[in-house]
Amino acid sequence: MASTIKIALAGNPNSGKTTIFNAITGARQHVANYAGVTVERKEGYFKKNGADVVVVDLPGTYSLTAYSVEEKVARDFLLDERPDVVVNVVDASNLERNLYLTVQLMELGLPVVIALNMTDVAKSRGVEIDIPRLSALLGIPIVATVGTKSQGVESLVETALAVATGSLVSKPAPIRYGREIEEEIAKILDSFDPAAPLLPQYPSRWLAVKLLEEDSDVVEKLKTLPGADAVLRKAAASIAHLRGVTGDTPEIVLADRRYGFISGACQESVASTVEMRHIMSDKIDVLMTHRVLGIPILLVLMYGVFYAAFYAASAPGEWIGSLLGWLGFQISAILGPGAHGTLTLRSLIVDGVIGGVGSVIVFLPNVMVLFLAIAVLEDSGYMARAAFVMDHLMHKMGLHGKSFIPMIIGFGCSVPAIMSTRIIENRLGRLTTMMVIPLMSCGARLPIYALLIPAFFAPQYRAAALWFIYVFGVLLAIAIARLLRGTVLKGESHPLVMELPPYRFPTVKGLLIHTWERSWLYVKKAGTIILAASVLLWFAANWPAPPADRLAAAASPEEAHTVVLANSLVGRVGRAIEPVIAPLGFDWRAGTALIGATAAKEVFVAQMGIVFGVGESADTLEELRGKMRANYSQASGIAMLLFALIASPCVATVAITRKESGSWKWALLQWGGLTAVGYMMALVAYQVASRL
Amino acid sequence: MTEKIIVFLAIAAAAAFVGRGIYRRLSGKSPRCSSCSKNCPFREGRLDL
Repeated sequence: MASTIKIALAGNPNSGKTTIFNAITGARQHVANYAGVTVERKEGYFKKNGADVVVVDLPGTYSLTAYSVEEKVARDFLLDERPDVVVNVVDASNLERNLYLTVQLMELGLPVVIALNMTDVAKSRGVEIDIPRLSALLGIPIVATVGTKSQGVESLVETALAVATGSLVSKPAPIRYGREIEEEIAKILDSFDPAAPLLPQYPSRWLAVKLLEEDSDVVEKLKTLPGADAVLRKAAASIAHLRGVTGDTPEIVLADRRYGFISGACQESVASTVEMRHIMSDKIDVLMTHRVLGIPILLVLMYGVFYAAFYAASAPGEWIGSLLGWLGFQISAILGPGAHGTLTLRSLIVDGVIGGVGSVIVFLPNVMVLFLAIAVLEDSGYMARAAFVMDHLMHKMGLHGKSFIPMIIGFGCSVPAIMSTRIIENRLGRLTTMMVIPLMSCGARLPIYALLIPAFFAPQYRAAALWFIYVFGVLLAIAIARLLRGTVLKGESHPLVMELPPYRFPTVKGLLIHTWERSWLYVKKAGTIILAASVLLWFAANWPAPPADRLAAAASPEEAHTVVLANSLVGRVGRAIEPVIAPLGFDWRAGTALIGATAAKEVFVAQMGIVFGVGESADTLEELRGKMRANYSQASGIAMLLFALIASPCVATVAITRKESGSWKWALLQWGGLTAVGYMMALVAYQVASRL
Repeated sequence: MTEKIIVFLAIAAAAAFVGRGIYRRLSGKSPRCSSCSKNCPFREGRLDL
């Protein structure tokens, strides 16, 4: 056994190196500076198995380039003084970053032992490292340690001494840089004269790699030596060749390869961990957040969501419709048929409650599928990417980068979305975002779309129509926000600083909980506000009763229904506003339904169910769609879709805007402005579409 | 007569419910969406962004 064994302790800053150093050496330490620089050089001593052991604590560094004094000192020590063993302290909770230094130590050809420190922290963060496997992959003995508790330190010392004395082999695995680079390394190695090595203390492969990296320290040392010109010329040619082939400096390409090696080693030995998910996430994000492909991918995913919302949910929706129809018949049978125009209990339940609430509840499956799809996108981490991808576009439009996050929340409900604009520090940016959030199609708009789109579009165009209305809302929001930022809300915008959390596989439990929470709210809303609104609308659609002689003159139940409705409050209000809404292709029934939707958007569907009297039909849903088709053209349908999307935000939205903006001015500007834009859009759409 | 009372009460209850809801929202007492529940992750004060 050698009389004195020299151990060098290398590691990243904050890897726990000093703690390990203190644990190994105890109080026997000596502190000085490295020659010529003020970098601290700490040495400790101890005796083991009859040998004197010197432990040198190298400065904490992330790599062994020659960019900083610390790095140069550490590197020179390792190359010039050639310790018997290098103990590389690696923070297990930051494995990938820490292994970069390890790889550089491996390249130096020194015997290395890894002290895998902070394994307790790593474990608490869900990092599970297969130590024997990682050790085999790197060709280096690894000892798990917890420096703060002195765990594993004894074993680490024994392993290090075993390597230093040769009783245990540390043979670092070679790092391969790929065919292109390896060929250039070989060329430089060929230019070395084996009989007269230029820098004999340096491993020749390491020297060749450093020449490719244009390492200033190595190049400067070589320049002073006779016979180095040929080597430097060869290196320059290789660098030029690699720059041409890769489009980057060899230094960057080599660093990428090292990270690739580390990434591969981690994927092999770090099982289902946060670290691993980061690596996988990076790979997925190359595609998902791609500068060009990012937005098309987002649009395709959205199309998939809407396709599912229509087709996966169509059969359950029909079952609910049939069930409600059957329920209406049963109640009629029990309570007896009521005459039209009379405010009977049968009419209240069948025409009002089943017609109104039932028309909303048949869309529960669509809502559930939509919320499930949104839950998958959110739980997997994709929604953060969607915001990231949209940020590029939005920033080009002069908008605040963080605005897209509240906008995404707006797909659920505008109220929480407007609250979430608090994340935007800039008041002007916040107000702008608040103004346009109602253009995100919220969950309450879905039943309107799900009623109108199948009524007016052929099956093959339905998913595309739904996709279009959502995308149109987003684009219109961006355009209006741009307009506001250029006029009433002028000011600077700030870039989005956003971390992309690693992708996760959504858990079944998580998805079920998220879908259930939101679907239950939909059911609850149908059972409270929609139920109450339906009762009132039913009353307004049946009162006051028409003169008995006009009712008696009606030839059919449908005609009698029309007579009652025309004479009712709904009919009278509807006729009063008809001149205003007729240019949009709406009649008085659709007009009043759209006014009712200001209370809550689903009321539109409820009121359509009531005014078309579908409470007693065999299939509520198909009956209602059939009546919509019979009474309105496709152009009217398109105008209704646009009006429902843009105009007249619901009362809850107006209220929250007033509260969050601190004034009625913004709330009324939002309501009035969007209603005006919605009116214009619907007008243009109807006038153009009805002429095609 | 009983039927008329039931229908009248239903209409009155619905009117009171809707009226109260609109009043509370516009007066700023409860500026929430109409489906607000304690489970809602976006409920005021619970935004975790």
